[in-house]
Amino acid sequence: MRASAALFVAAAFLAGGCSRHATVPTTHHVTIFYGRAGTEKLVPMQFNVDEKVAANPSALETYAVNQLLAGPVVGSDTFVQFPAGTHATISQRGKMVTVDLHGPIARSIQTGGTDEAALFKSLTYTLTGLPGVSSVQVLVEGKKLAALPGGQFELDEPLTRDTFSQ
Amino acid sequence: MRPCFALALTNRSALPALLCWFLLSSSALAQGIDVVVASNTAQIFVAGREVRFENLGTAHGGLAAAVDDPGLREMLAAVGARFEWQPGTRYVAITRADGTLITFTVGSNVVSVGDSSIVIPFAPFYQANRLYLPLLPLAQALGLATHRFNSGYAFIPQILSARRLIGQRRTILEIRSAAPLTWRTSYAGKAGHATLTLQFPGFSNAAGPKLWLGGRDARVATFVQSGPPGFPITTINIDVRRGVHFASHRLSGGAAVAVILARDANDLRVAAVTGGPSVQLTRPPQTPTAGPAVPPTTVPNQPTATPANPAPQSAQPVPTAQPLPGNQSASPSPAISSQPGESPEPAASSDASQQPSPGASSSAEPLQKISDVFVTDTPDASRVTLVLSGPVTFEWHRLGDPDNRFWVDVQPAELIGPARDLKVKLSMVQSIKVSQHQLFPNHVVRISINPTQALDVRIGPVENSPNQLGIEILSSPPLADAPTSGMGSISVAPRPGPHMVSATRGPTQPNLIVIDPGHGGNDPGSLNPGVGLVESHITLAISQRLKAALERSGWHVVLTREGDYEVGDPGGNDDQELQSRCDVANAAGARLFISVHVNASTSSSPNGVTTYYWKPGDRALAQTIEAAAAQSSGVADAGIHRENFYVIHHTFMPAILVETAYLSNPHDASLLAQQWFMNKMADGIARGINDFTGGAPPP
Repeated sequence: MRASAALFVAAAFLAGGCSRHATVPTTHHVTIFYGRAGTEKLVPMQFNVDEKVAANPSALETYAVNQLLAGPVVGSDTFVQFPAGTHATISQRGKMVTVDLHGPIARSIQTGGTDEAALFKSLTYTLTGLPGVSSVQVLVEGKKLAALPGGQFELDEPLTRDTFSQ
Repeated sequence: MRPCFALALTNRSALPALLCWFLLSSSALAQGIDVVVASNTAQIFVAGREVRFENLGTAHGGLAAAVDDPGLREMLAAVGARFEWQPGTRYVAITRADGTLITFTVGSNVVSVGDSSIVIPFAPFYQANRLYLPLLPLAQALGLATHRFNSGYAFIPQILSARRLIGQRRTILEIRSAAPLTWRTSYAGKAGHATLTLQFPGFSNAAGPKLWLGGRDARVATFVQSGPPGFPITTINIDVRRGVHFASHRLSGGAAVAVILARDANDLRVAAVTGGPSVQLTRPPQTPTAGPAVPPTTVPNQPTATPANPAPQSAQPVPTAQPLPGNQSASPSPAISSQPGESPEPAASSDASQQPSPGASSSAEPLQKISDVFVTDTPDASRVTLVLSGPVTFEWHRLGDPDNRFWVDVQPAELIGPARDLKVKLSMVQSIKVSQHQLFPNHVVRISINPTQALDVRIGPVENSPNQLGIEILSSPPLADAPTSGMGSISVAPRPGPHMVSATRGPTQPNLIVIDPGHGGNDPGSLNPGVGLVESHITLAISQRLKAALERSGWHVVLTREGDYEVGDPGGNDDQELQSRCDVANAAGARLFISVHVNASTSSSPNGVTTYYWKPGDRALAQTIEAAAAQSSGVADAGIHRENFYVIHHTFMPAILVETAYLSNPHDASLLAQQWFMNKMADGIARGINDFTGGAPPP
C-alpha cells in the first residue's frame, strides 16, 4: 500500500515537473484569534486551509468557528475555552454572520465576566477578519438573548470589533 | 353648562353630572365645536418607568392623551394592556392583562370596565381629527393608583385583591392585580415559626392589611406597603405551619399569582386552583376583582411630591451654544463656543471673579465635579471630553511659536481621581495632561496640550450630551490671525432630552445606592466544587456587608435580592432576569448601581479584582472602586475594563460591575472562603464609592 502510494506521488511529481502548465498549489491562511484567559488580549494563530474551503465563504466561516470551539492546539490551559460539547451553526446575510450556539453553553456559562467577554471578542475578531464579514449576531439555540444563561455579556445586538475595547 | 355641572357635584349625584356632560358633549359634537387642547408637559411614570408623550394636553381641566400618541401605547404596554381602535370610529377598546375589557366611547362620560362602569369627568373627544382620551380616568380603569408629584404623575400597579381557597389537602392564597405581577419569594424559619414572604416591587397595596388563612396550613397573611410612593413595594408575609410545602404559580394572563400551601409536595401543582370556598379579606378590599371602583367623578389628586418622589430634578434645561457634534467625525460646521479674550496672560491661572463674562462663575458658585475624562479619535480630529456634574466656565490660552502650548482652565471644578496623561492619535500632539491645577481661591482643573505646531482647537458642549465639555483638536492648523485666548461657559441640563442617552439622567434619590448581588436562585453562577464555593452565595454575602458599610456612612441602600432567589420572575428567561435588576435601580432613581460578582476562568492562573464599566462617564467610578477594593482586600489589582455587560448598560445611573476575585484561582478561592476577606472587600468598595461621591448627601 505504502509502496503504491509512493509510486503515485513520484509519478505525479514527475508528471508535474515535465508539464510547462503545472499549477503551484496556493496556500490559503485563516487567522483565528484566541482569547488569553483572564485578560482581554487576543492571540492570533494562522491555519492553512485548502482552496475549496478558502473559496467558499460559508465553509470558511464554519471552519473558523470550529477552530475556535476546538480551542488552540498548544497552551490550551492559558486560553479561554468554549465549554466542551458546544457546537454552532453558521449563516450569513449581507456582511453579518449569525452564529447559533448549541450545547452546554446554551444552558449556562460557568466562567466569569472576563472570560465570557474574551470568548465573544475572539469570535468577533475571527469572523470579522474573514472577507466580507463586518458583524456577528450570536443566537442561543435559535433565539436572540440579552445574554447567555448565567452570563453578563450583552448579545441582543450584532457584535463588531468596535463593541470591544481596543 | 357650568352651573349645571356644579349643581350636580354639589348634590353628589352622578346622574345629573352624567346627563349634563352627555348633553355638553353631544352638543359640542353636533355643532362641530373644537375642544381646546392646551399643551401639557407633565412627566408621566408608569410602573416605575418614565413614559414620554408627544401630544399630552389639558382639556376640560384634566389631562388628555391622543390615542395615536406613542406614549399612550407605551403606557398600556407597561401594564400588559392591549389596545384596539379604528380611526374615525367612536369606540376605543382596551384589554387589561387580567382580561378585563375597558371601553371608552366618544362623547360619553361612562366607561365600561368589565361588568361595571365608571363615570369620568370628561368624555373622549375628537380635536383636529385626533381622538383624545382622559388620562387619569384611563389609569383608574387600568387598575393603577395615581401618585401626583410636583411635575407630573406616577401611575402605579396595585395588588387589587386577595382571597383564600381552602381545600381538603391544601390552602391557596390567590393574589390579583390588573397588571402582570412580578414577585420574589423568600422563606425564613425559626423554631415553631416560619414565614413565607412574597415581595412585589413596584406594586402598591389595595388589598387590605390582613387575610386569615384558616390555620391548618397557614395562619394569616399580612400585607405591608413600603418604599417611596412613586415605586412602592408590597410585601405579603404568610405565617405558615412547620412542615408545609409551598409553591407560587403565575395564573393565566400573568396578573394573578396562586400561592399553594400543602403538607404533601404532590399537591403543589397549579391544576384546580380556581373554585372552592372563598373568604373575603378581614377588611374588604377597596376595589372588587371585577374592576377598580373609584368614586365616580373623582379624579385622583394626591398630595404633592415628597422628597422621594420619582421625578427627576426639576431644573429646566438651559440652552447651550453651538454644541460639538456628538459623533466622532469632526464636523466642518462651526462649533467654537469660546470667545476671543481681551487679555492674554499665558502663565496665569484665571480667577473668574476678576474676569466677568456672561455665565462666568464666582467662588460662590457650587463646585462641580469632573467625573471622567476620555479621548476619542477620528482621522481629522481628536477630542478630549470632560464629564461634568454641573455648569462651569472655561478659559483657554495659546502660546505662540515655537512653544505653541494650548491650555484650558475649567472652574469651579474638582477632578475626581488622579491627574491623567492622555494620548491622542494626532501626530502633532505630544501629550495632554489633565490635572487639578488650583484649589484656592478657586478650584481650577487644567487641560494642558503640548503640541509640535500651532493647534486649531474648538471647545464647547458635546451634542446630545449636555453634561460633557468637548475640547476638539483639529488636524488642520489655525489661521495666522487666530485669537490667542478666549473664554466661555457650559450650562449642564440635568433633565435629559427625549433621545439623550440614559446615563445622563439625574438621580431622583441622590442618597440611594442599589447593590446587585450577581446571580441567585436557579442561576448559581460560577462554582468551585473543590472548596465548596458558589458564586451566588458569595456575591450576596459581600453585598450584605457592603450594604451595612454604606449605611454606616449615611447611604440608603437597596439590594436587588436579599436571599437566594431570582430578582425577576422565577419562570422567566434570562433577559427578564437581567432587566429586572436594572429595573430596581431605574425605577427607584438610584444614584449609583453596583453589581457584585466573582470571577472564574478556564485557567487557574488569572487572579485579582477587576472592575467593569460601559458608559464612558463611569470610568472614573470604576477606577476609584477598583483601586480601593484592591488596596483594602489585598488581592491583585487586575485593572478596569470597558465591556458591554447588560446590567451596567441598561441602568440609567453611573453603574459598574466588580468581579471581586477568581473562584478558579486557588489563592483567591481560599480568600473568598474567609469572612474577613469579604468584609475587607466590602469595606474597600464602600470606600471607593465614598471617595467618588464625596460621601452620602445629608438627609
